[in-house]
Amino acid sequence: MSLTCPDEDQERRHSILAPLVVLVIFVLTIFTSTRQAASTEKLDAATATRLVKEVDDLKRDKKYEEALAIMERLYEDYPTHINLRRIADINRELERYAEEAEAWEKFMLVAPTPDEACLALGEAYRLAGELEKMVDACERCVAMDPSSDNYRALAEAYTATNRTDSAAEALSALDRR
Amino acid sequence: MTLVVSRFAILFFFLMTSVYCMLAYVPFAYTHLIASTEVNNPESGPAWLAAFARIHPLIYIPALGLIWVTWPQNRNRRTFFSIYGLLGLVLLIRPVLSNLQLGPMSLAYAVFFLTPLIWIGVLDYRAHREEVPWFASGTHAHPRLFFSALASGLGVAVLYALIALIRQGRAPDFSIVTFSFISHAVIFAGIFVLLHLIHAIATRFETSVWIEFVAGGVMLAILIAATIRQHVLHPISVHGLAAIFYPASVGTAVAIFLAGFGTRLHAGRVKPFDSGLDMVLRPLVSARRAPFRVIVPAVLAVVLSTTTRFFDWNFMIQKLAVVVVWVLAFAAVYSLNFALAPMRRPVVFLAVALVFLAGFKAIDAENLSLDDYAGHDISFRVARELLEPTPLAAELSLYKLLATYTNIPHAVKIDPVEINLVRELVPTVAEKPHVFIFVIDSLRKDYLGAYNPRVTFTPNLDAFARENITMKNAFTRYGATGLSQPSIWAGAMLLHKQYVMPFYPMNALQRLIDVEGYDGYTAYDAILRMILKRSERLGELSENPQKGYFEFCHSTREIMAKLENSPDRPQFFYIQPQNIHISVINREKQSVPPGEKYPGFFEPYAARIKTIDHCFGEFVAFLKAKGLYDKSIIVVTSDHGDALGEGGRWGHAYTIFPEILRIPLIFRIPPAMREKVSWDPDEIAFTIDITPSIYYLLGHRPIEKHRIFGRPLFTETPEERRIRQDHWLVASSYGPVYGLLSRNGEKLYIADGVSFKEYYFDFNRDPEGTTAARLPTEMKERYDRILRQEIAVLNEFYRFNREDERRRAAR
Repeated sequence: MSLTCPDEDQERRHSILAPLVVLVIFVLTIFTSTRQAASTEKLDAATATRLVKEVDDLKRDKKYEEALAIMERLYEDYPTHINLRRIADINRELERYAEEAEAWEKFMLVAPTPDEACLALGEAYRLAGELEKMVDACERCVAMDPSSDNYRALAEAYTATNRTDSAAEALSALDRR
Repeated sequence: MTLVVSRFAILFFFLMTSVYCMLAYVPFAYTHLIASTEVNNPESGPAWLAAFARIHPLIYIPALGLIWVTWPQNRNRRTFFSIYGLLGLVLLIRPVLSNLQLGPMSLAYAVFFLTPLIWIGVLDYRAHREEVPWFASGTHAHPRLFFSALASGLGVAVLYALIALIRQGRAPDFSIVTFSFISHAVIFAGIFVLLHLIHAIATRFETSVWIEFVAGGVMLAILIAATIRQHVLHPISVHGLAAIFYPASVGTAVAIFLAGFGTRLHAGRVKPFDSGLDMVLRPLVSARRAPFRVIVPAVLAVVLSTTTRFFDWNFMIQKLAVVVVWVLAFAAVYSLNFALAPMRRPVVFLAVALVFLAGFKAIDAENLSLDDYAGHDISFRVARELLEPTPLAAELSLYKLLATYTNIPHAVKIDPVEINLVRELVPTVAEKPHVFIFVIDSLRKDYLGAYNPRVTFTPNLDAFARENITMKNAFTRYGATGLSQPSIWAGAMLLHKQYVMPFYPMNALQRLIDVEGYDGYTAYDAILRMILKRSERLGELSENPQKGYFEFCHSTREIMAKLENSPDRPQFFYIQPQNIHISVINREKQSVPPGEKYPGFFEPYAARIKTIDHCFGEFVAFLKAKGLYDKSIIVVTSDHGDALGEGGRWGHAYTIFPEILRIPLIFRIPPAMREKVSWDPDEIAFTIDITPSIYYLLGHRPIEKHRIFGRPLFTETPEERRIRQDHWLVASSYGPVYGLLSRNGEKLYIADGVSFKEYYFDFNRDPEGTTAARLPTEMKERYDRILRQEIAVLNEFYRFNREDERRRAAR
């Protein structure tokens, strides 16, 4: 097929290899580079501590969106009740009450003293307009910790849902204590 | 020369015909460019497009004539002219273009009208292939290739940098220009490497010139197809097989046509070729004199950059022009065939290409603010898009989702879902004020004194704002009119489809007018013609006959005349005047009345707002004189803002940058109503809140709450208008570009599924919203999650699930 002499043949074989290699380098360099992704490695303790401080600073500056984003990343690696409390608090600041309630619900599942979430959870449901869920949360809280605060919250929840008899009953239960 | 002109005229005609048919295949383009051209609406297609469709059968005949006179010698004309001549007769009896319907037939026509190009290309090739010397000169081609690539690459980089300098009116940052040059060098070095490889492979065969000729044609076809797919079809949400088949057809047809023409132009040549590329590029460098060959792409770049930017569709035309200029520049320099010393070692050139690549990778472009410059240097914009890192899989998945739920095709049948802003819509006993809704198309809030103290040309609107209620933090939910205007009538966000029909069940405002027994009048523009139910209750306001569009002063005078006739019956008026729409401004040649100056503002736009303001003042004075002012709800707003040169952008296309989303929103409420309600002018407000607000003011309460509904802005208790969400979905009317407004409108996140980019604006730090801030990855992921949720909520409301729909179609 080739009409060229052997020397030229050899030179041309090289001339294919070189542009081919360079073309592959071009393609690999340009088309396979991807945007920087978030690290999927678990955050080490030092980084986590630094991020918590960063979150505190952001909250102080009222940059709650940024703070929440970092907290959610932290929670992925450290799903503790402490981090859930932080997430709930930030959601409250953002007036994102449904998300706040969700965080408190998770808190109640993992926290050693779940009743700490009681008042905030009921309040979050109230602010989110989820009154039935508020009643349910308050009933669970009273069952868990029949404290006067929880009884009052339950009575308020009943009142908010127009269950005045139940509200009166809750208040009288409080009086009986 | 006659042959060249004829051939390009034929190419242009059949391409235009095919593109027109393709537009009719795309729902969005059909709605705005084809179906509504006769109403001369600025939001619809240009008048020349409609004219082209009308006279197409008449142009077809001379186009056939040109083919006849340039027909290859000794080739049988009979079959071709039998088929296409018959088609010409059919076209005269029943014109195709002016009868196109939305649907697959339009796509079939689009491909069919490319067939003459293929036929002519093949015939040209077959008629003249024996007259061409298909053997190589034996000259080393790599120096010529390298010089052509580098010189044309850097040439266009310099040219577009100069254009950017003129457009920006100031010298750009040196480091950005350097990055632009290196970017161009890398792309053109890449082209050199590819062509060099093809040449190296081809020269191993006897038929090297023919192989390069075919490979060059294939490359040209791929380039055309990729450009159309990426820069034209993707932005208007054409996906699937059509997005592959049509660009491939155009690329193939044009490449074959040019290749055949190149063969014909070389017929009779004796001198051997350096490379088969000479054949492919020959038709692109038809000028005899060498300097003209270089001047043509330069002039084209300057002319297209300066003339198209005001009406361009988010750089679409300018980017297409850049690709054309790149090809022409390369062809021009290549044709100059500079006699370089034949270097026997191409490795040197390849090494230089690698040095460019290494230099490009070494520059930390993340620290350069490139967006603004890329808005003026469109060649750099294209280069940057080519070289940008690929989005991550998660990002691509989001963009795919956005595209899936955007511009839902016409063929997808979706039943309307009633939008009930109240449980039961029955007439109220409350007194009925007149209702005037003035939606001034494309009005920016910063061109009103009520929002920007630097504005001095809107005294009447400013006085109106002072004595009434100005929502300072107002936005539209949709960029561009296509969905923005219907969403005002619905009082809610809509499915991304133009349109779910019948629209009436979703049209909360029209149902309110009907129930309350208003006498209504509206300016039926192209969109309202489709979505409004024709009824005696909703009469028609007319276009300004002199101007040919719905013009503010004409409409307000018409309204005053209607009020004169029956001032006591409650009347409803909705107008969407187009005085300041960018296409109207361009159509009126950006004219400014003599002696008027608006320093610091876009003068043609400001001058027209001044006119609107004057007529608005007349209208308010009329209402006061007739004692109607205190019996009226008046809303002054716009459907969206407009880009007036920010980052090189003009118009509103499918972007949702801050200048597009921010709008004015001013309410007048009759004093008797006003004293019973409260409001918060600093709270975030949207155009979709207008209808729920009117519902509330007319006594329809309580207003139903839903994430996709608007809310009443004026209520007796703050609780009734309380917002229980922190993110609001916003979207483009025409492309897969979505966003989230957060924190009472302080932050804007945009996921641009057209350019695969994200933008984040923090209006606390950058009140003008001119510079996109860097977004931490964690936040971006969070926003993306919320975006998906919000779109899911919207689809759920309208009971639309693309997967279900696909499954149904499969059955």
